[in-house]
Amino acid sequence: MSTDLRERLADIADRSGGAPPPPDLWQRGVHRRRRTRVVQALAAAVVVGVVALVLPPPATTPDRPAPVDSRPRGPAIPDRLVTPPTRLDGTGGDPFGPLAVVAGAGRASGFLGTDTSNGWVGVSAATGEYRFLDLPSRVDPGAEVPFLHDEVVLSPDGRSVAYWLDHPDDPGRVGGWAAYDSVTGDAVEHRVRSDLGLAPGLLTWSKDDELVVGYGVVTERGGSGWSSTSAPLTIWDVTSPDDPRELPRSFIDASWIVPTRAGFAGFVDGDVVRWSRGRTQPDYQRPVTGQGDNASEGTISPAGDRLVMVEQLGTGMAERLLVGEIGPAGTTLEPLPLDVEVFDVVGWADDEHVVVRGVLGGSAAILSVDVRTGEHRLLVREERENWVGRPQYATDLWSQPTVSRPEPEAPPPWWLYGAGAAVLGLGVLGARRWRRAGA
Amino acid sequence: MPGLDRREVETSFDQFVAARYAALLRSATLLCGDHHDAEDLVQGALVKAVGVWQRIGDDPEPYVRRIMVNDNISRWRRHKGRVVVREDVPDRAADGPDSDTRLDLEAALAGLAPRQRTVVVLRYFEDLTERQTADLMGTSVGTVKSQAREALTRLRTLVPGLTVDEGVPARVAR
Repeated sequence: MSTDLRERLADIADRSGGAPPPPDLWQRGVHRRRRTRVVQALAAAVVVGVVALVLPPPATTPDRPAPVDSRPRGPAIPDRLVTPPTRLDGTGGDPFGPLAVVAGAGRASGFLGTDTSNGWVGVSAATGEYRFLDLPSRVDPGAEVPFLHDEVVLSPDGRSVAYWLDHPDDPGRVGGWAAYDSVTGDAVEHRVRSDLGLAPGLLTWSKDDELVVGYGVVTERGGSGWSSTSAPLTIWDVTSPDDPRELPRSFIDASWIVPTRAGFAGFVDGDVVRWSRGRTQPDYQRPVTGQGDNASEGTISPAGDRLVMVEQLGTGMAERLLVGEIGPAGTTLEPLPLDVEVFDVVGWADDEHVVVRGVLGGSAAILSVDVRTGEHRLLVREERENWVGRPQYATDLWSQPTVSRPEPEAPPPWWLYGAGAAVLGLGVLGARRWRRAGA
Repeated sequence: MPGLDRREVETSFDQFVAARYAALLRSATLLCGDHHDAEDLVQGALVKAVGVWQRIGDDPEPYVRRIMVNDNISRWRRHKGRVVVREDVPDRAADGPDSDTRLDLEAALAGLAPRQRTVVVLRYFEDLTERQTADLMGTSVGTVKSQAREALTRLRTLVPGLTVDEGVPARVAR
């Protein structure tokens, strides 16, 4: 049997059989159209009536005190992520503090809120509350912009959210980047002048207020694509946004970069490269062996002395972790005995425990893995559907236990209140007419 | 199709159904995973399209397919409280493409979220581009990319040996 996805899909589709279409589809369509018109008229009347019955009085004092929420209030990552309702509140001008998680999620849009667009939801580190992030001047999420890497990223301390800005001439093109402060609600922007916009590349935090940014400047756009020139990787300090600096050129071809305590490190053409802040050259560039041909991504411990990579076990196969100490002569990676599958590295809880995304019980989960023994511990269950961007965590919080948080609840749609007001108006009108008739 | 009388519009509809019903049914079978649900899905979409056939009759297929995609996701949402999707998919498959215990692709597809499954069908069965897939699903190209990436990761996990004639976009560690 073929192992090619396309051929296997065609095999399944072939089982649909050759049943002929029923001959009455047109008539059914005509009847449906008539029914729909009648039902729409009736439904409008029924909705108005029902709303009048179910809308609660505008009481401001609850009948009984709210139950005391005994859940922890300190900053922490929730032990469970769920699919947020599309009609969650947005942050607007009301920031809600440091975040534990940000993740792409469908957000209600359109006049009635029945359409869905790509939004980014934030989860409060203090309370677990979910809200959509209103990121000022964020590039149009429906734009034809190829994001090869995560397009919105959360800082290690959960306070800042980095994202790509729109272009002044076209909200669908990238014009720079910004950092949104989840405490003040302000965004610090850095715009790059370009006629046709930027080709977004790497966007990752190297410390709480410092971004590493990779991008190209688009030089030509056509029907089938675009071409661009690449700029060196840039270090951008949120506290001095007008003074971006170029990263040492050793990093220009880095396939990934992660923060360390002293600076950051990356993986460049089969070598591990480490750099400390304030230096003009990397601390070292050392060869890595044992990663095979399919080690796709990885991470380096906060102390900068241990390398972990994710290896794909052949084309289309599952993935596993490789671990190695970074010594003077380089690193030799060895497979870590591990009885769960992993497919992402997410961060570190400490220098001995790497945090990964894997599969547990058939669903995605975040696990802490001891890189010395392979023992793992469940941190977060990602019970999510229809997320449009993988969750990003405030990695500083991995050093603390995850906690139980309440599930998000969405407010009723605005038009329900509108319908209620309409019912009230009709009721008043009816009452006045009745009184006049009686008079 | 302005200017056509009712009989001509109905004839246009019948011709489309005769020509494209089987193809639509194949797609629907992949979207639903069940032959009877697939027939319901296709017929439901065609019945809905009747009401606007005068307007879409020049090129009705994208409209009909879009109804199918949306109705299928809505159907899944209606039933997701009753249908256990993930628990019936084993965690780990055995080695080798011909192993008796290997997960079948159908079971693996059933373990995907509906939008991921839809992306897989449109991208790798219908061979639509990312832009065409995004247009049909009413979403962005970025969403299609991420859904495809997550879907392929999961399919490869559940169906060892599965190959896809397309690279997975590079990822960056956090």
